[in-house]
Amino acid sequence: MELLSTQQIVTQYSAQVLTLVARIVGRREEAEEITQDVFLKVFHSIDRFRGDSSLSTWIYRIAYNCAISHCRKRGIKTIELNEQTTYHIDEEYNAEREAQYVALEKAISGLSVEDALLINLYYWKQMSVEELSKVTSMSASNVKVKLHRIRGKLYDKLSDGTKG
Amino acid sequence: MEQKDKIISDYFAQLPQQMVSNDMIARLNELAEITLAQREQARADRGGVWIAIAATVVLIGFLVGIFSYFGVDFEAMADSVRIERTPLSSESLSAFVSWAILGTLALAMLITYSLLMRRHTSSIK
Repeated sequence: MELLSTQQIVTQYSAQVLTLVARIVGRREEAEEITQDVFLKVFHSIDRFRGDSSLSTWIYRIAYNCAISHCRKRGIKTIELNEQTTYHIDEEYNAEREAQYVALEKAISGLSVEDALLINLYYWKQMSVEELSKVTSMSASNVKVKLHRIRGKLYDKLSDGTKG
Repeated sequence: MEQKDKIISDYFAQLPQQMVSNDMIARLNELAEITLAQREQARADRGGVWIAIAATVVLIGFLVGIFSYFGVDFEAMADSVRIERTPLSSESLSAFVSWAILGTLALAMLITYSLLMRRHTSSIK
């Protein structure tokens, strides 16, 4: 792989990887450190990328594994949200929407690191179950079951949030 | 259910994307350069070892040919390494010397090649 290609990889994926990781660990410095680790692994093993999946899936797989192993090392079990990774409603103030988002964030911050990564990739990156299966090394049916459970939790919190 | 799913989708869609500083981009590009150079070096090292082995085999063949031409008795050389033979005869002694020369030359060749390859690969950095 030529240097130009690695530059393209950096340009195209650094912000996305950083965003994903920051949504899990919360702190920017820590997220940057993990992102650097992700790209180091990408450059080291780019020769071994066989093209069985898309490049983005492969990079997210490395990011997923790096984020999980970092959190395990630091003893982080559930995700941390901060002002950089939480909602901001740009459109005119909507109290109902805000209540829903607050309820959602409460539910998300209670998720395990693995579940939070999964749900982010599903909703934010709009990955299919097959892609998620490649990223997480879980079977497609396992991914479906996990997604069903996580969404169930989020739906419940949303119901609670909108009741009040 | 669909409405809730829409709310969740909207929530994730509006979350802010992290901006990567130029400093970080530069760091990542530098990391790419270093990693590529290291990989190139490892590849050159592997190539160097094979070249050294091949060159040593060729050299030994060449030396055996030269020694045979000048009448070195390889049968006596082979006999000299047998334990039951007494290695004190002048014939065996000369055979030992011939083996020593061959071995030293092969070793020198290997060291020279590995030094040359190290210099070559460090120039890649």
